Amino acid sequence: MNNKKRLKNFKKLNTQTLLSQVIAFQKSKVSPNIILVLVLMLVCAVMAIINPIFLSTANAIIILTEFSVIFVLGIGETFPILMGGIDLSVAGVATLSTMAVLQLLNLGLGYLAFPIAVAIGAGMGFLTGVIHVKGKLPSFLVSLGTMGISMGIAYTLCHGMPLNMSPEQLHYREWVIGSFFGVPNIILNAFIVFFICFFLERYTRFGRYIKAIGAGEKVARLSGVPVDKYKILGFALCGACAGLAGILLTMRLSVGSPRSAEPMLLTAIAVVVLGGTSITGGIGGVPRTLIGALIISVIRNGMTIGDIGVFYQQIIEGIIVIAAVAGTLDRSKIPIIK
Amino acid sequence: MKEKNPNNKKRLNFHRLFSKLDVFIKLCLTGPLRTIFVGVVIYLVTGFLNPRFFTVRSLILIAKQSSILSVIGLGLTFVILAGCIDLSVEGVMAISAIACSFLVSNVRNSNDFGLIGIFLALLLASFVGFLNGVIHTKVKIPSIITTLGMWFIARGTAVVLYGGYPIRVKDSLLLYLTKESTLGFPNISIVTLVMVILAFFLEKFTILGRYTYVIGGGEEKAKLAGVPIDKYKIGIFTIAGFFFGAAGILNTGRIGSGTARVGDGTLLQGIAAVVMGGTALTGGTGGVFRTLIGAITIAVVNNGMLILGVSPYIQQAVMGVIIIIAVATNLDRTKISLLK
Repeated sequence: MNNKKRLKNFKKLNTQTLLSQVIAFQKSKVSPNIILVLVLMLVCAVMAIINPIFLSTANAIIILTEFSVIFVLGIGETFPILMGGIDLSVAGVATLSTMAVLQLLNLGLGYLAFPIAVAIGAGMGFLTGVIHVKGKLPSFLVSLGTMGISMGIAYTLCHGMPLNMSPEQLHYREWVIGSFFGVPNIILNAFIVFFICFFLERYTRFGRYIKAIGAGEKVARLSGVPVDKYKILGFALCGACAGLAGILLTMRLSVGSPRSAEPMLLTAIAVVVLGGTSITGGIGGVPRTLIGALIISVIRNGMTIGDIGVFYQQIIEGIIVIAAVAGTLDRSKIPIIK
Repeated sequence: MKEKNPNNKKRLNFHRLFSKLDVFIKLCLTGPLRTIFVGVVIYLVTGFLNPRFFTVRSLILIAKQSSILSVIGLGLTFVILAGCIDLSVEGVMAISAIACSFLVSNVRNSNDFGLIGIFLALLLASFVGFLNGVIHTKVKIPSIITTLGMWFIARGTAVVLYGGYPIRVKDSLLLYLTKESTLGFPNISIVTLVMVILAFFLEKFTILGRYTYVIGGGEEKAKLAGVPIDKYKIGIFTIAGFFFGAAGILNTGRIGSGTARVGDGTLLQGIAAVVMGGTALTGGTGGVFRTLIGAITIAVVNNGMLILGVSPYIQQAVMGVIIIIAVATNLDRTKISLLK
């Protein structure tokens, strides 16, 4: 009996020690950015050892191409998480814009279809933001609702079947699948979005307010920040990015499937939290999502090269999300964990 | 003075009558009575638009549809009552469906564990719920993230084991419980009723049930009062896993084969059933019977839309709208000073 008790106490102590180590690490002055870059290099090294093909230029381009869609989705998700909320509807909005852009092309709108589809995405994000702010409902719930609404509209637009692009429409894909001096356009698109959002986050009032809201909403409100307006804008931006991600995905595949964006919800959140953006809000940002997206893309690519099944990736991403949030959660902000 | 008194008495009478009416209307517009109200209204309106809705066959369809939704709702009720949320419904359903299909008599392998197979699948599902609880309480991660991660972990595991095409189930007991009817009453509904009674028993007559309400009513206060929160939260999530697993197994029997997609779309419907029933998302108020009412109402809405010819894809959109409206009118705003 004594031994059992000793073992139990020892195990309890170990978990507590682990947790206190995590908290101590959080309080330390080591910049998370450096750690993340080191992790990225470590992962790359591991993959290279497993299979040297990893280091080739062709593989690098494959990684970056896959990375682009995930990255744009992650950039969008960064803003609601920075505000301390979450947007679970990104995958649904991406699916919606997938169907919308294809149907708009069918209507003969040409290049106009793309901005309209992004606007539709922004509209869904706007809806999420408005209901969240005006209805005073938790963001995860509202975004769950808008996810359902987006998927419903998406399924209606395509009648449940994947939509194909007709041969005459294929030239509209050029801005996504073509290349510019050897670099695939899709990567350039992703980085243009990155620079725009980076600028928004670092050098505009919008970005500062978003971080302020995340760091402490009550304080922000008392300081005179128009919290409602910027929350709505934040969610609208997330929706717009999700819409763009859906467009990029469709143009790459030249087919719009209602199921293609399903697994992307977890990936979007994994990318953001892995990058070090805290789920409690206020800390982090778009550059961190960049590194998070790179790490996840490298891991995915490594698993594909190593011939591990696609669905193991979901399992690993799930574990990553839990572990990453465990490490980045600011426990002083949430006295009670719900 | 004598002239004034009679007038005063009359005014007082009206006042009392109106205040009672006011209370009655408020009672109707909130809580479970509202849900029954909405359900009945939608039932009558749909039946008026298409008289085929009033048949016994339609009622049986509603009963069957609401069965699986109710079981899911039972599990979700416990978690939401405690103030947390469990997003892993679909994953747990998938993994229990696959496990059950492989263990009972099926076309893929020569296993024939029957009742033991079902029991093992339930054990697996409860274990996933247990993991949810442990990670949430010991590593102190918000339940939304824990269950989001576990959703995809379980789903991924299920798909990996699944192998691409449905596993047809031949077990006679399972098929009897889910496909046949006794005296005109679908068996699956009887099984569901048994589960509801079990859940009600857990909720009202066990310490875990009582503590669920206490934790939901105010976690800091519960902690100060000495309630061992971690232990009971783990128990709550395990129970949720058990019910989700049961739902997955029932669905497998109903469809006749195990696929990894048994749970698709059920998360939204499950949450809709719970909030429609009147259980507040902040926790502390509500119960399993309310969820049962909510599930039946949603089945009425679903079947109504089906009979009226509304596209099934619009139904998902309607679910989203229902959740938002139901929560908005039900939220206890005194408990959430700052909504994230």
